[in-house]
Amino acid sequence: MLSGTEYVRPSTMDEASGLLANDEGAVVLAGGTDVLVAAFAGRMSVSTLVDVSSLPELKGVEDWGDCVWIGALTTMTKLCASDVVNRVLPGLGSAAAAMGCWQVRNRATIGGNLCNASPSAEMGPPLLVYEAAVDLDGVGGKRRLPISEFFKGPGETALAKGELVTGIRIPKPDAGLRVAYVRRALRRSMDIPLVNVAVGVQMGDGVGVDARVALGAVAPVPFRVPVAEEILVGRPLTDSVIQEAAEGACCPARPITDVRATAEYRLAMVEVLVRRALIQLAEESV
Amino acid sequence: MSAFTYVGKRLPPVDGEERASGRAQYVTDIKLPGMLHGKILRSPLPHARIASIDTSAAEALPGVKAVATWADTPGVSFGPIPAFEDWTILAKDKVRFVGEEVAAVAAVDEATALRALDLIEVEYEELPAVFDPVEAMKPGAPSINGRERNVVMPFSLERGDVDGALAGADLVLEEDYYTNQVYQAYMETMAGVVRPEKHGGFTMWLPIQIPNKSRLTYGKALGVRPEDIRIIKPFMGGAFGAKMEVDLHLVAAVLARKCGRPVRIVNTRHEDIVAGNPRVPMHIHLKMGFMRDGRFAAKEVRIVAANGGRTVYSPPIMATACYRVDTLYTFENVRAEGYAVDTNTVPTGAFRGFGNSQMTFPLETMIDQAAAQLGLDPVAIRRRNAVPTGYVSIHGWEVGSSGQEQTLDNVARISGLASRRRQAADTGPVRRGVGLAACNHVSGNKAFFPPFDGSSSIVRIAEDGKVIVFHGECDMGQGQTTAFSQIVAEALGARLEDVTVAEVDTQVSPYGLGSFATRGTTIGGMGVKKGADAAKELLLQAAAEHFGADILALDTEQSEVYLKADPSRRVSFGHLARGFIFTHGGLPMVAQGHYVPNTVAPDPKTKYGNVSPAYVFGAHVAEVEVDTETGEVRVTGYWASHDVGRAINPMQLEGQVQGGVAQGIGWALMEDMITREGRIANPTLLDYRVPGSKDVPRVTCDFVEPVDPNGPFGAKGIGEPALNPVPAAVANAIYDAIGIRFTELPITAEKVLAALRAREAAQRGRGGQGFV
Repeated sequence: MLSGTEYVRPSTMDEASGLLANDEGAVVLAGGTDVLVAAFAGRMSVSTLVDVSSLPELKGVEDWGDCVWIGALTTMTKLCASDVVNRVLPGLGSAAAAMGCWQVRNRATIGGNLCNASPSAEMGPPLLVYEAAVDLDGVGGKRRLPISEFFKGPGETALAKGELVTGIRIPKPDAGLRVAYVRRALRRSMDIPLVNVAVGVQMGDGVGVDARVALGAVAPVPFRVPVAEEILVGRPLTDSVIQEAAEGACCPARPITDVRATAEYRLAMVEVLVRRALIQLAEESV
Repeated sequence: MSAFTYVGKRLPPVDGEERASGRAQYVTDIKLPGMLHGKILRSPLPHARIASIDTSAAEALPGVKAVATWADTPGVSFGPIPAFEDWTILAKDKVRFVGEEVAAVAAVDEATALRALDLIEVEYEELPAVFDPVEAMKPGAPSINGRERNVVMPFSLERGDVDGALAGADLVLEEDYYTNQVYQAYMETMAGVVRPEKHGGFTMWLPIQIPNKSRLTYGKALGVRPEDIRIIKPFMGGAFGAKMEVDLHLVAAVLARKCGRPVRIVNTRHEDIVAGNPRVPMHIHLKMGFMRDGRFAAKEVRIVAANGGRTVYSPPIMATACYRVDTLYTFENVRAEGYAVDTNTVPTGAFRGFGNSQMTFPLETMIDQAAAQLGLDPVAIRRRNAVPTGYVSIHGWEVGSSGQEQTLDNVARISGLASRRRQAADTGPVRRGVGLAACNHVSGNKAFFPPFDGSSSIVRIAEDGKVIVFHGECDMGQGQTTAFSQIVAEALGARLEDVTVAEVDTQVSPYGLGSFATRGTTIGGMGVKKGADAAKELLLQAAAEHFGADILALDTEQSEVYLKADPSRRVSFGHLARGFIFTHGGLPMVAQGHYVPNTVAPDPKTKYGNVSPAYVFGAHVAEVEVDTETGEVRVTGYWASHDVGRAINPMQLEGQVQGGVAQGIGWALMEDMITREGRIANPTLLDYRVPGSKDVPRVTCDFVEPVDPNGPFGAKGIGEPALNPVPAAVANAIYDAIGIRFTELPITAEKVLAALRAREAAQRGRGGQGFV
């Protein structure tokens, strides 16, 4: 129930961060696909909804030459439709297209997806693979964090009090880096992944020169898997190397058992998904 | 060319625009002057004694108008079935399932009512609980409703020489199956708005399948005569069997009576899942004997079904599971034993199929298995045992029409069944398979309400020639209003747009039984057709006077009466009705009609009878892809052929079949009310997964129309048979794909993967468990 909850729509960053800094129960409202659902279900108590939709600093998808900057308010639909994303960051576009359904993608924002900090966040693995950084702004001023330092636990982030995510900064990868995003869910749309995986591989002279493997939904936060990446570097993308990397990716995964799936099943899916993502990349490189 | 104007036509729902535009009024849209909002305090424990309830703090909360406990109810025990009256409106001194109604609050708004619920202090003394019906029957199990071994109702039946037939069979198969508990997941949760009336009566606006029959139960519960309860059923957002008698309606009445104001209660989705009327879960042991030529020698079944903490409809559902399929094939030797058993779980009720869908899964799976072992074609083995028109089953059921063989042939043809089996290209991780399953069902069920069977209608011709049809059945969203409009327009010779089918209001509508047992189109349709036939007689009589012609020289079309010999001479219904009404002091031009089917209630001892005026058959083919690395099953193709007697509206029939298939795929592959220590662990639609549009393939439909002697224009029902064979068709397709038979629903990806890995491990000659 939201009776008694205030709604404000600040027009400046200062106003927004001030509201968030001074009100213990203030919550940022972007697309509302997580916050409003949690608030209506009573899982989140909200004194003030701070609607950030009027802040121009949070909007836009821009090609800055060496990096792509994505405003925090960019919806999944806009990500899918963005030329620069599809050209330079196709793995991110795939992940955006896999989330929810049309209606959710029309509302859900990339900033909201990060701040909700679900272990299965759709944006987590691809942003880890693209080695994105998160731009923050608040009462303490601006700062920037690598995405790997942003997630702290289920529903927990590095955001300080009075701080907002303004955008995501993604260094343009080498043109040779190919990225695949795969997920396993209980149904084919409008579902949260049981496991999601982003894999990036760059080949040179027939061997991997850069490999990035990130997993979601199998630990408190999405994370990179160096043990699998090391297997791929300096070796050709053969079936046996792929299998070794897929099995290696399972080692650091610590999934939970819940009503959707057992930990064992999720672990088995890590291997399958990493393998399939790598096979997809190997086939693309032919 | 069809001789019909409206029957058999692909017409959009007559109320479609109203629904799609949001103008249709549902119970939740009703706002009455002075209306309060009710909320129910539900038991957090599966089995406990109530030591005390303190409502004083809740009563003191500003905005609270009434707090009710058992002491505010008439205190009588009642229930939907007179033989098993174990309900009280609010719990008396013990709770039997998580979600049972303990107390309730009426307040100025929902938020206040919710706050007041938190202020009610209930002291519970927890009792040992039992959740599985097999466990509940064992000696020493906790007693839930004081019944011997917790058995609510045993059932047994035997015909022919089962033991002899099994001994002489060429192949005997025996297996344990389990069909799980699933939720109907209709769009509109359970709801009610109840206004107290003078003399202690009530007006209730309810989404309810049985507006008339429920008044018998509600009258007893509330200590009033059934006639003192007026039930109005507005637009309804689905039911699938769940919305028969619903305790929430009575809680609203108790609150309304206490505070003297209308009270509205609407379930949250969470409440609806934990305390609705989900499907009866069943342990089914099936043994069948087969002859080498495919004949079914004998069938023996033992069923243990979970009743939940109080009795809704699990006893007749269990009984239906025991023997309704005996009319799917020409069985001659059958034996059944069943038990409906109290458990400390959510009470279980009707869900599309009423037990027949549960039993169809084991039966059609085992037949598939037998066909494979005997080297017979799956179509051929079923055709070998098919029921012909005019067949009388061993239990006395009279099959007036059967298109069963044709449904089997047609579904095999349209699906290309023979060429799809075991796809040759299966070398990768994804294996493809195809499965066939057949089903039967009733079109009405005399056993459900023994006092009477049938239906009736009042058809009124207004002074402008418009036609209003009053009936006592129930459109819960399935399209009955459209079907009735077509039937009446066709029988009466009226324009479809001139026909209005009134919503059910027990103060004006005829007594009708409502929606269950796939009876609406057949029995309900006959009731409105008879009314329309009688109204046509009235109009012809008036026109005979008008033209000075013999009644036999006249006929109707497009809301006009014309002379058959000279069709240019015509008079409108409006002209005739005005003439009649204005010369009779305003007397309504009203006709009535009724239909009494030839049904016979089953004999209590022998179960011999004839429960339905018509019986339906169907056959489905599912095609699946099984991902052997993830266990994921994807249904990639679906074909369904149904014997519908006569298609009143093929488009609506397709809608029913598509919906049944979608619901069946959900049951087969993903839907499961996961219950842990009596608590439902996934009580949200986020965690209780129903299929999305991408999980359901295009469903190709075919209809066989043998024209039944007992249905309106020969029509039979579709609602339940549309779902009955789906889990078996999917399971048989999975077998075809990977060679593993599943005997428990749902067949989740985890189960498939575990079975594949277990087989791999066994083939490698070592025991294996789990996935890694």
